[in-house]
Amino acid sequence: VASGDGRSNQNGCAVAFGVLIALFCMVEYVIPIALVGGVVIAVILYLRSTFRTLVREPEPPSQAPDSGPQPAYVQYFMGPALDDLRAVVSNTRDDCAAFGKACGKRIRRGFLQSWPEGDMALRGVLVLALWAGVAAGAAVATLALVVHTLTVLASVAVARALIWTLRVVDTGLLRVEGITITCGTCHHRVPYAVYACPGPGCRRRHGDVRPGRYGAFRRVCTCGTRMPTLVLLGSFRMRGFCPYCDHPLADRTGSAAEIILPFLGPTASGKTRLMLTLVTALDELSTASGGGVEFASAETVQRLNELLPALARGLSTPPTNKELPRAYSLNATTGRGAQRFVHLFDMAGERLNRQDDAHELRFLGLARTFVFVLDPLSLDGFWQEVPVADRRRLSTFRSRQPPQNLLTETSERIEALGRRRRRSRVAVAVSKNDLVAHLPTLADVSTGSASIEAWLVDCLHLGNLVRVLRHEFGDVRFFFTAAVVDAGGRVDPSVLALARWLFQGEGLSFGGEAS
Amino acid sequence: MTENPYRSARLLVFVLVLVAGSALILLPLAMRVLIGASA
Repeated sequence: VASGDGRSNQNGCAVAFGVLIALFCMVEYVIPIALVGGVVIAVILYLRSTFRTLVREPEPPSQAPDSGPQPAYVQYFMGPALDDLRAVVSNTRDDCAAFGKACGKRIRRGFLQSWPEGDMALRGVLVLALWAGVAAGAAVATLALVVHTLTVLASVAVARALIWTLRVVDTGLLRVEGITITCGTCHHRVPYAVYACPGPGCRRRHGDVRPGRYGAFRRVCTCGTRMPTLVLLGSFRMRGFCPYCDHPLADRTGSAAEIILPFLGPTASGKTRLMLTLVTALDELSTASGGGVEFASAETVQRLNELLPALARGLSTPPTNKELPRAYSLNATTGRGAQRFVHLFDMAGERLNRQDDAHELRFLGLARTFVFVLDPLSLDGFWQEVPVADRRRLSTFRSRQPPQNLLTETSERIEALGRRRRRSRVAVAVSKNDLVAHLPTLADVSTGSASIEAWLVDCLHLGNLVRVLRHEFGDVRFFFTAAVVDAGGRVDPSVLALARWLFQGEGLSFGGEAS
Repeated sequence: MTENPYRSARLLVFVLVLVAGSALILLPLAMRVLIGASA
């Protein structure tokens, strides 16, 4: 019995020794391994989630374009980046939880349940190791997610600051350059053009392509086409439309400052011919200085190509359409690199007479320079001086409406439309000089502005009209104009002088002096 | 097929996150090495 007791004591000691060694191994190796394993697995799960969300994104993009008014994808840092952040956090958390549960289940079923009963210490250490590994993994995953979140939030902040800075710079550049956009059809001053997507077969319209919610340097249309957002990057090369009337704007609109030039005067005073010769004069002056003139819209090309041949052949131009005038838009450049969009508004005299339509003539409120066309034949004082022999010939060219009242009323309308006339300039073009220059009544009148003014006041008794103009406008200049071209297609020097004065004052300097 | 418009931005964020994580690990090590060298 004693020897039997001794053997059982020996066996008990051996078991206790074995348990001690097992406990030592657990504490020394299993817990550290569990810790390292938990950390490594957490890092792997975080990286896998991040990689899946940020790199292995399926094609086409899972995010749909914005459902708002713009048919474009929201800029990544203006929304989707935060969605991705949420996805990474939630996926990592779910993956870690699922992995922890799976490990726990496996250890419980495959390891602890087959463990010899009574070895509670071993069980306890194993569970402790498992929990230590899970806790370490959770801590590292949380740390990784905190770093990830901070990095994404910092990126979002920097990107948004950059986007709004770009927007401010773009707006500032337009202001500094004096660039504006005016619709030639409805005459609204357009804050920013609506651009059509340049993608093949895509006609989606984008309201405001400036840096913002939909892009920093470029935005992506629903069709996938990238569109520039900045003038500097060539947004003006896209097809622009007016946001008010939906009509096309002039080509490359928004790339240069504008000159709005209305031609005002009674019916048959010679506005259309003067405008046509002014277009030719602008082309001559620009080309001579090393630049050139381009017609900036298909409609301008069509209408000018219909009218200019009549000018070349010395024929009368057809009466101006009485509809709301559409601008003749030109893109003029000089050899010195100056560029301007010139919008010429040739308005039917009948329309100027209609008081009710004043609100439609918004371009009068946007213009800084005006051309008042004054037909001397329409003035009774002048007509009386025309020799009877010439009257029959000239009567067909005579405007039937004296200009005084019309010009005075128009001046008041311009003020009503908001233009500060003291800063405005007006050229009074005494037209049809090619028909009347030989008449004796003009023999003593030179082509200088002061001489013409004195003649109008002293001989034609237009002192009241001249005083009104002097009072209402900052700069008034008088010209004799002969709206004709010679056999070589060159315009009369009188129109060249008018063109120099008009455009030089708007920043288009061709060299030489304005008369 | 439409190209993913967010591909480059996501790659940028992925790289930034890796750089930030690496910096978090390496900076303390580098500091320790520097402090050890100066001591």
